[in-house]
Amino acid sequence: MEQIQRKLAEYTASLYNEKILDEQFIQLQQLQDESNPDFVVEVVSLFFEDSERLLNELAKALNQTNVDFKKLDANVHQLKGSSSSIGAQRVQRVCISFRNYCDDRNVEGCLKCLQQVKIEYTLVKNKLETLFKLEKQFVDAGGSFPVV
Amino acid sequence: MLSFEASVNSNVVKKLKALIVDDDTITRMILKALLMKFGVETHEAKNGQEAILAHHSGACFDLILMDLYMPVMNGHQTTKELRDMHVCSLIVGMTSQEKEEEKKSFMDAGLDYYY
Repeated sequence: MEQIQRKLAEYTASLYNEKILDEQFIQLQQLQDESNPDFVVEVVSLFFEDSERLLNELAKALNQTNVDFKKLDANVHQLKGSSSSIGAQRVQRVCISFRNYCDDRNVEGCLKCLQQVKIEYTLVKNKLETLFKLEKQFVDAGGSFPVV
Repeated sequence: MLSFEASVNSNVVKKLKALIVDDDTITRMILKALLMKFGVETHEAKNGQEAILAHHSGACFDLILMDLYMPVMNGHQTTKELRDMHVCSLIVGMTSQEKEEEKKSFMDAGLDYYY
């Protein structure tokens, strides 16, 4: 159990050190309690669903002959908001650049940002899924998290 | 009516009621969990129109958390309409927009605070 606990602590620290997550994720964890035991997983799962839908919408929008930059910006704004809400810092940062390219009506810039945001999203998704697996291993081994 | 802060700090037993007006499901979930930690009873509206309809049905709230950009009816319009209806709830605006003129315009619609 100690080995799992150490592995979990090191992995968690790496997520913050690599700026994959920011303190907003800690605040999410603090909202989880006995009355809401799966809160973080539920919120993050919703983030995954929303993000995948938005990324598809963004790809479709940029594939049009006449790009609707207003609609594009609205979707990026949404993705920026939800990534910020869960602490997915790197996704949020790409969204900020993406919005600037939308303002400039720069298709090439938007396409580059779309590629970048897909990379960052895939990274944070994989990292969070690994985190949840490690947390489950920790709990299954008899560990518990402090209740706030 | 007690201010929201005074109500939380006082020994008043009455459970505070809050309305979260935001089109984003994740934001509503997080705000709901946060308010529940303080024992606040929460209700949700996905846009301003739902918030207005709730008030027309007789609901009243101590606190309204109002997003700015929403489909159907945005936060600016909703806040103005609620104040025109003489709703005296504490209304707190929420948006990530950084433009000062947009923030000022939102405040001028009738917000008590801006976050």
